[in-house]
Amino acid sequence: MNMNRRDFIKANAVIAAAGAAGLALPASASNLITSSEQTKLEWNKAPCRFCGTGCSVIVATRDGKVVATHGDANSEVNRGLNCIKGYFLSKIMYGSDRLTTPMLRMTDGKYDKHGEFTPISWDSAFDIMAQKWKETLKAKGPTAVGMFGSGQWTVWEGYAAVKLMKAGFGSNNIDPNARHCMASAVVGFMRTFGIDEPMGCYDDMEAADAFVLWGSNMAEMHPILWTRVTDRRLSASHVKVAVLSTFEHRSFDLADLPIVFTPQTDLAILNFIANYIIQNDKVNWDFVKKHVNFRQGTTDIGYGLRPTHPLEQKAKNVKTAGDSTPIDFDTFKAFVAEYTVEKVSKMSGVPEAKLIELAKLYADPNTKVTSFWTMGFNQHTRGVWCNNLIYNIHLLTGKISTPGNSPFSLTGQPSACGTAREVGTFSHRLPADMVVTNPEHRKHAEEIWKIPSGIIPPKPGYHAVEQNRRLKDGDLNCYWVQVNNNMQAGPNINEEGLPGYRNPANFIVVSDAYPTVTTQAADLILPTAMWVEKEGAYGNAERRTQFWHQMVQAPGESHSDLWQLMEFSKRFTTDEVWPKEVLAANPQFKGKTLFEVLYKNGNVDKFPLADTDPKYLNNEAKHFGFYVQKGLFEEYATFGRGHGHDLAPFDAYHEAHGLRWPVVNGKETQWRFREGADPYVKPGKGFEFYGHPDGRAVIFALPYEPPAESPDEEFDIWLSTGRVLEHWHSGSMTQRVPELYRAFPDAVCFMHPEDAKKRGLRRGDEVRVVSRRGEIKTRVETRGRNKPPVGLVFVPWFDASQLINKVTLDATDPLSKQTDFKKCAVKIVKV
Amino acid sequence: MSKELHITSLVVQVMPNKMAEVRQHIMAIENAELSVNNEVKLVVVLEGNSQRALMDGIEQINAISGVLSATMVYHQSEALEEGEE
Repeated sequence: MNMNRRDFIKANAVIAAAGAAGLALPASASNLITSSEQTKLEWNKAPCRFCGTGCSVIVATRDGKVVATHGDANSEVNRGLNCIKGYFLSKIMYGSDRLTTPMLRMTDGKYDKHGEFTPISWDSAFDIMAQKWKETLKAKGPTAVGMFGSGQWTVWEGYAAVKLMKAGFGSNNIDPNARHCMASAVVGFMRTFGIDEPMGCYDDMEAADAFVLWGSNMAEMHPILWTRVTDRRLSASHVKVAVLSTFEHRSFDLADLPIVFTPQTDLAILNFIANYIIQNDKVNWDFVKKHVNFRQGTTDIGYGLRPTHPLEQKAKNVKTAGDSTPIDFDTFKAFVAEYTVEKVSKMSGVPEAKLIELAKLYADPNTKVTSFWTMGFNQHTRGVWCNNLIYNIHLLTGKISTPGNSPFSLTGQPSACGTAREVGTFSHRLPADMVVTNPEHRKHAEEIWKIPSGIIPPKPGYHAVEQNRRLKDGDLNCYWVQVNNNMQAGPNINEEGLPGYRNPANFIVVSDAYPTVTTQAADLILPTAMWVEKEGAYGNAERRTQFWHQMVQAPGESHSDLWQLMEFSKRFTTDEVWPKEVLAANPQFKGKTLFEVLYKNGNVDKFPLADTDPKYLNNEAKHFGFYVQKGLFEEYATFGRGHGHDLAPFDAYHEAHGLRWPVVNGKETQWRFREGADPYVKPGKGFEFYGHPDGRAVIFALPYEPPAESPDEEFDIWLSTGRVLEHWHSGSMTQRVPELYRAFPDAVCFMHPEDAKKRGLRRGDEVRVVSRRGEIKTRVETRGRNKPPVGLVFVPWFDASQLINKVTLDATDPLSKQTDFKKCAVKIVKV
Repeated sequence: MSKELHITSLVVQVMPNKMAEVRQHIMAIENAELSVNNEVKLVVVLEGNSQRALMDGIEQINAISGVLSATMVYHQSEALEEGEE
């Protein structure tokens, strides 16, 4: 090999890395930047397919195949860097077992719930689906059909699905898997601020003096954001990092203040900090008097289990769980006064000195604090309370909406914010934070959608966990799952999920790119295009909306979720699904297909095929004959424009490397609620929490309450589940990348060496992890990256051969309906 | 038979008091080359004949005490022609 080729590649590698790191280039490399080597490849931008960070990547295609990716140097999010998962993005579409044709369980050429999966045509697939849906709608009405979607849906896919379910079938039984991951954050935002999503942005990281991680293991789960925190910590010596968790993990490597606490006592620690701030006269009175109300929340609210569960029968206020009453500051002060350092230290197992050091970070008016959290707070039977309590601390000190002062709820999925939350694919929601229970909101949505009034039902549908229970009970009979693997991700699948899917009364459809445990539990599998096999849009955790073009074709007969939803809508006429009295009053809709009333309504089909960029593929636009994605996006955007959720015009996003909403007069918003930074704050207000009519945020008095299940004599150890760096969620994509698979092939049970010794176990021994609900077999790991304290084990959930959710409990936060995957009681038994 | 050449570059974040040790460790890794650095970060280029060889190198670097993160930036693979090495 001559000097040029190898050296050229090396020089390019160095230039890219030095650029990303902000380091000066070595002189030897600088004359090699341009070369014809690169011209063979077509490079385009796309957001990463995985977590909610929203890194931008540059994707190279050659001969219709994605061959390489690298971090986008022009992205404000990742600045040219990629984590290990993003690095291998080019491989996620090319697993050898991609699904390429619809498959129906059949015996002797006919559908049979107990039959073998048999390839069929799309036409036959939609035939059997439509037949099942129509039979069910006729017999039991719209509450017996449902859909389970995802924070990985593109914006327009989620929007098309909401329309099909709520405006088409007249059913609110649509929920996203984001229910498992972000619902507590949403209800926390709505209660405290009256409007969803973080006020700050990633730029807070370069301005903060202190970082506090509440349960979050950013080093593994949000590695690119962690490099920015690390950069800040290493480049400014006064910066402190506090890491709180129920076990020690990789983020502790950078911690100045490492804190391991007893599960559930985060509630007490949060209240202690509020108490410390008040007792030490560190309340920011100017801020609190102008911008804050105090309220006391209802307590003893149960654990979101089935109503027949003893814990639900015992709880006094299940029905009024979300209520609260106004109080004054003195009442709040008295409420938190019991959370003294002595008491909370005993409850949490955290030394008093550490608790005080932590409280001081928040109390010191000269320390700008950014708090980060994800599943530790959200997957919690009091997850909404945790979210409310962290805002209490930031509001008491006025440390909010200014650079570096940022209570920041991180996200787990690429479009949990953009699709699940902003589009409103939840069972109670409509776009732009509106809800089905509000008659004004329903009316507004029906007007934008150009459908008669009375179509959207006022009662919220079944949420994620309820859907599995209703499938099992036979109340929900036709069920369509898209872009997620809920049989692996959902809780207590032994007792609820699997019996629900396999209930003979039910017909289950699963759309996916790969076989998963969920497709295995289905009756009909639909092969699905993924990521850059379609045009898409995602919204990340800092309110940034990012678009990408279709770059390659999906294999075989795969089609995008959008194509599937719209094509299926052609199979129904309004007469078959809408209430008779509504049609009688609006005869012009009679006999129309759902496709016509939902997607050929003058809005969605407004932009002709000719508006698409001829440089790129767009299967959906070609198939339906108009620029589907643009029409859906522009109709959706009318919900939020002028209401604090303003999105830019469609075309702007194909140019920009993402924009943070509200985008007003072409300008994005980095910090909401602060005058000068947020165009919605009225002049002279300073701060304005305009989600609430009086412009004030709410500080909530909420206590510590015990978890749904704690270790006892028989089930004597805590189980927490979670992720690892190499795998994303259920591993259906990352387990198919050989390098990632090899890096962390099988789940293990991380445990303390003393706990292992007590049970006669050694590292590598095979064990059963057993709860009251189910068990799995795995192996003991006493070393490695996660170091649980005595009394707790950690088992990651990416491994389909070790389904830890057979073991977990389906206890949820009664307000958010989000499952607590972080706490249940198990025993560890040697095999 | 054609051989493959894989080259990747990493940005490695390092505890400043461990920088000298970390650099020595990386220099001892066979297929790793140190490039530019400042007091808390350095750029490393890895070369190998398979993706796996690179992954092993990345794992080795991650395991060095004082390394806070090792993040891949650029990767290119090429098939080598007869006579090239």
